[in-house]
Amino acid sequence: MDQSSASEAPDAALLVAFANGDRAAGHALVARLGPRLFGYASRVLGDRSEAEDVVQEAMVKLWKIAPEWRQGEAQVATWAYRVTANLCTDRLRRRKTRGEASLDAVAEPEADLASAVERMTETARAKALQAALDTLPDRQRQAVVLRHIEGLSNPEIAEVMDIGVEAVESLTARGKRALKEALQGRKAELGYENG
Amino acid sequence: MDREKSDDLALDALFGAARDATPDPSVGFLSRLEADADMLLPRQTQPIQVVRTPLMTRLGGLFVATGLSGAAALGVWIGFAMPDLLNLDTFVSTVDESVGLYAFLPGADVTALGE
Repeated sequence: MDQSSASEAPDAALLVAFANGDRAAGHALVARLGPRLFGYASRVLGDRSEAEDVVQEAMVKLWKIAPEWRQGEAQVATWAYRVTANLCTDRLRRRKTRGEASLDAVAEPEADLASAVERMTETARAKALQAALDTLPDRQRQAVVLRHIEGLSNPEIAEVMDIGVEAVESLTARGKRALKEALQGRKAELGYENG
Repeated sequence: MDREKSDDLALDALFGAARDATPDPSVGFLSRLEADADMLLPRQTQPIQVVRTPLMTRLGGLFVATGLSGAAALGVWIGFAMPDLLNLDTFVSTVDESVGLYAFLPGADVTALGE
């Protein structure tokens, strides 16, 4: 599969091509899913290094299941989010067992000084949201990130989290409410006093 | 604008900022993912070679085919040249002393009795 056709092919077609020995298809899937899964895991775990481990493990599972993948049964991206979500949940549980606090070590995107200054407010906003997200219970945080940052639909989130759509709605609603409370009083600081 | 709506707008703006500032994976990390994919790339499966055996070979070769053809030709020739030989009644009457015939032609004895 050449680069241009790989960029247009659906995820499932790429996975099937990979299972048939197409190296370029595997790389195309890495380029497509890697950043999305990493962004999600980083927000849920609040730690880049742990997010890398989780995404690497999820992708290895994807490569291993590729020869048995049945098209039409599930969306590849949804399946990958689901595996990543489960691995994140395992990590968060282990943290609690060890009594670790949630980390907020998400690195800022690299930028030169001028653009860093230009982006200061936006970066501050993103960091404030991440700090507020870190205060949410794990399941609420996962649901809110999937819905409002990753842009998945409620049925997709239900599949990822292995719960009903109503439960997703409940989790995201409670999550948003908790976020508002956490951010209350910081609106002026964040530049939304007139919002 | 009531407070609820104002809070929703503020939160939406924060989500938007978060989407724009999605943590980017490092190039090194993506390379590691590609290396994993290369390592676990299933080997290209070779199409199964279907070996076609010629019909003649499957039948046992030229020697057997020649024998079969000869036997078939002989049968046809006998059918034309000596049709009486294949007439069961005649055949039985000419060899009716042969007890063994009935062992090989079940029903021949009944036919003979009917004469």
